[in-house]
Amino acid sequence: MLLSLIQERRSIRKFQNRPVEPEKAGQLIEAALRSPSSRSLNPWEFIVVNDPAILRKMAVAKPHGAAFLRTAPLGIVVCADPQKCDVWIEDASVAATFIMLAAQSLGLGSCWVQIRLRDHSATQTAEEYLRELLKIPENLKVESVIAVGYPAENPPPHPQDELQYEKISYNLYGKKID
Amino acid sequence: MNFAELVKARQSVREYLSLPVEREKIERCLEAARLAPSACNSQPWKYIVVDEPELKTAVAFATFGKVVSFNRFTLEAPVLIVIISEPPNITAKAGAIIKNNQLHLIDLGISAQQFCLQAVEEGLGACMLGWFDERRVKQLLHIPRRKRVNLIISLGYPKNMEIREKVRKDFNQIVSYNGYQE
Repeated sequence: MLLSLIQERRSIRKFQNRPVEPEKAGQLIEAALRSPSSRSLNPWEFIVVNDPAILRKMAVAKPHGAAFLRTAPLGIVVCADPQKCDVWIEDASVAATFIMLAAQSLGLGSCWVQIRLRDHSATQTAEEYLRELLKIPENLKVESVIAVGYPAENPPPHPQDELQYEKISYNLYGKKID
Repeated sequence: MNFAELVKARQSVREYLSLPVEREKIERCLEAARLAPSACNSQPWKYIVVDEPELKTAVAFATFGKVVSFNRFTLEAPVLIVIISEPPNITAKAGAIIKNNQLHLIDLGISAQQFCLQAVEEGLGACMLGWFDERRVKQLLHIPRRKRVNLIISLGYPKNMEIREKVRKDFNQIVSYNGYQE
């Protein structure tokens, strides 16, 4: 089941004009909270945004790669406290991925919006922009926003023969399977 | 200001104060645009005022990319004016000559310039932009796909009221009487 989800998963940026039911949102939240983290420190925190006016403002967090938040019914902001854990980036990314896979299992589509290391403008980072907009406290860094909704597009799965098996080695780098 | 002074004072303003622009002022600029002449009085233009902050930011993002980034200043402008051209259907009225289909672009320019001159009169600064992602702008403003967006004007209170010297070709390079002159 999970394997077929992974085989079929594609990023979805076009969403139906249909809200995500609170029960499904709850399941996404549970998936995030159950994601593994280093030493189980769980340095992450999440902001679940379903207010269209706020989502429209989030869509201009950066010039490219966030616009589809305008029409997403849900945006989950993935934050983490670096003071709680030095590998907060990994932990936040794992949680974000859990949200994306859980979404797919519920018939939803999702897409990652990278926030860390991205700029809103010459004078403000995307993180600062969201911090101001969503009143995120200074101790939390923002890793990404996961846009979630019922898909309005149906891109085909990536074909098996396009997978980059050349990136796989066995026992020693560069060693291919016998 | 008299007209000659307006012509001297008008300059492309790319640095703005963060003050919003009062809609009454924008409307007086649009009125000047509305009164512009046009071929067959076709008035082949439609103006969209974008002053809602997040929508304006989204449209501003459509005016620059990583490679072509000279329009980044639009992020600072409080208002963006998007001009759509509606080419007149002259063929229906009289057997049209192909070149007539371009006159609407000239008309658009005339109308846009009247807007910009009135802006100077209002103490505002404007800059006309020809480079932007037309498809993205149409999506953001729900402009029908078959329409063309030809021009965007950024508008706001200028950071600097100083009038820069205009660099132009010499008068004699562009004017001759009763015949062409190299």
